[in-house]
Amino acid sequence: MRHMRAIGAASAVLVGALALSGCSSSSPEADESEGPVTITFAASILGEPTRGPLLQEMIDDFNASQDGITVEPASVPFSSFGTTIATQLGGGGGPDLIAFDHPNFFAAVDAGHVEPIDDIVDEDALLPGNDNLRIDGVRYGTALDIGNYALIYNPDLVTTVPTTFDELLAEAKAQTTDGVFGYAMRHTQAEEAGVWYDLSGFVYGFGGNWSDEDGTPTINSDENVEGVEAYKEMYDAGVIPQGTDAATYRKMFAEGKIAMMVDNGGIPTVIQGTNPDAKIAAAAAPLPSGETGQVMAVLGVNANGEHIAQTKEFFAWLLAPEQQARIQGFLGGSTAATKVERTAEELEQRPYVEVFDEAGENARSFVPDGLGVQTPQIRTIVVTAVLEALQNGGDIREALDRAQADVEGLL
Amino acid sequence: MTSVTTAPPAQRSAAAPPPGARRHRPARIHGSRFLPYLLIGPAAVYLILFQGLPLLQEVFLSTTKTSLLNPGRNTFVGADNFVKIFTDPRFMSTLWITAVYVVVCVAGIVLVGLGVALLMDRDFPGRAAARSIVIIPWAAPAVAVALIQVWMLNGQYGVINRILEPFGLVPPGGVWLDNQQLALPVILAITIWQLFPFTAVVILAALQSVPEELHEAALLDGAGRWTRFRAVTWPVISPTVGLMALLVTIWSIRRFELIWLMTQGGPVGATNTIVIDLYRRGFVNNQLGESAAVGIVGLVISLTITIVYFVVSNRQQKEGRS
Repeated sequence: MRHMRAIGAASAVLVGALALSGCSSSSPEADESEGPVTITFAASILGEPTRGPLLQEMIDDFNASQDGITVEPASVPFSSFGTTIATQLGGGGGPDLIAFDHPNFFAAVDAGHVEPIDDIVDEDALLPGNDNLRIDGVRYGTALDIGNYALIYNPDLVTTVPTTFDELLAEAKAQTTDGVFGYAMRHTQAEEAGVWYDLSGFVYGFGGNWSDEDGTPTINSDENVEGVEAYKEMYDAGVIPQGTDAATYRKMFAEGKIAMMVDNGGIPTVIQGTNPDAKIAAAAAPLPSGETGQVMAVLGVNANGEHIAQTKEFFAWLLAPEQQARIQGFLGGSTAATKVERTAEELEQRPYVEVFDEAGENARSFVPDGLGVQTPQIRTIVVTAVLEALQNGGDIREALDRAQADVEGLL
Repeated sequence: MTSVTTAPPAQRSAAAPPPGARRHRPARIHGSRFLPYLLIGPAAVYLILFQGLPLLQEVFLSTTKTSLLNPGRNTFVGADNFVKIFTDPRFMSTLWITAVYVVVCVAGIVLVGLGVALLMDRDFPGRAAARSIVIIPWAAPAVAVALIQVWMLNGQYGVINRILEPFGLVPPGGVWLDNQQLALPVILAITIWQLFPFTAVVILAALQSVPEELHEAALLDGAGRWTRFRAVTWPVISPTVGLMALLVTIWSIRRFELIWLMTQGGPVGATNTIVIDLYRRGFVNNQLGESAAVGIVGLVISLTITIVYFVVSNRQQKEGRS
């Protein structure tokens, strides 16, 4: 009986230890006064083969330039970046400095996970694309990368650059022959976010918008219907490689098998990473309104972080003119947060960059005004409705009417 | 299912102690009524902490409006999440697609596994190597399988279209995963290919326990192959096959990585199973409450299937004994 009591007591201790070990909190952070502080910087761009190493070099230079802060990069794939970061933030953790995907930034701000940065930002130096990162009069983020959309084309294939949608469609049809497709765009549910960008580009190009200024959804406006019908017309014309994802058709463009696409200024760099000799030129997106889309990676400071001051110091370093010029240098056709003059060498090597810079004057974010937090759900509703109409030959107006009702029900 | 049996009570020693002698009871582990509880205690604590408590939390979450970005901030909404999902026609479609996926998976995996097991049970040259090779699909990581299959099915560069093109079996545009009619069959084929080896191995083990003399006796009686299978083999392996069907059912309801990586539930919801829907609601739309409600629905379905299985199984066992 005594032995049984001993076994029972030992088991209870063991079980208790196991239980408590599962509940133990993370080890306390080192006292800041005891040495360099380590902060983490998460950005999907760090995983890109072309641009990642260049951003890593900047991080290494910052670390070497001072002793108080060590920045550790955290590369998370773009496809899972939003989910990973959201889960970490929700758990009270997460990297110290985060390059958010644009829609996820607003949700994080709304949840109180992003630190205001008015104290480190010179508003006059920022490009207009940063305007919507100021929420209720408080600045929460600046762009790491602003990608304006324009027409990217192969000058060896396309000799007459289209300036209207009808010309674009005609040229795409003319180029579709012998294994070459005239146009490429995202159109599969598996790339829902990309479809949203490409679809929105058509909508903006026909003067539409997903919401008005006070955040009222305008999913089924006449202009939106016109824009989506143009997208459908391109889809039905037999000029795009059906079922292919963006990685595949960008590879095809590098191989001279795609004549044209409307995409952001960072894509030429990606294409030339595949084939340095790829022929690339750019022109304004040939849609009636002249408006185009703008994709953005947004830098924000994690309000849950334990080293906010040091994180802001690194952030401020990134915003300095010298660093902005370096960032601009490897973004290619995309722009940094502040105005950086293109060098003569860059303009000679990549003459198309000016087209993307000019597109920024009429570029609009893919986040509907006033609906930043709900953007992922609105995106799913609209993209699903449009793809259903595309695949089943449905009516676009009816599809957008249903989407409007669903979005109104959501709100 | 293993059953825990307690050790029989300790037998009294034949030699009783002399009258007046102090009784000395040596400590014994065997026969203690606390022993079973001590042995299963750690496992029970683990289950309670890492399965039970999260389940209770999920039930609670399903009655709240909770954001992924702020899981600690909950607004109680009662049954609103359940009303929302059950009044959504797309969720009804999700349930239907899940049912189709599960039924075809179970049928395919069990039947193919049974067929392969029967083949592997025969004696032929290279049988050992064949038994090793057949395991490969199951041993491959599901994520790797999904990504490789996406590439193999690529409309422009995929090897599958290259192979099928001479036979005229390529779908329009060479598109498989973005084709509403083909996406689910393709996912099913890949799932069955990946999971049948496990059922084959387990059923093969069960086949080894079929008494050889029964086969010989049946053969001597002039029984054909099908009769021998039905009368001799099947009664021995049927409990194993039934258990595999249950496990594959549960696994199919829970299957996520293959479908998410290949189609994300598309095109247009054609492969949107209950787990994909759960993930999208919780981790794309940041709606943990709705996601938890979908999870509860999935749990009820799984539990119902499991309970039915054990009720039927117990009834069959009782009928077998009587």
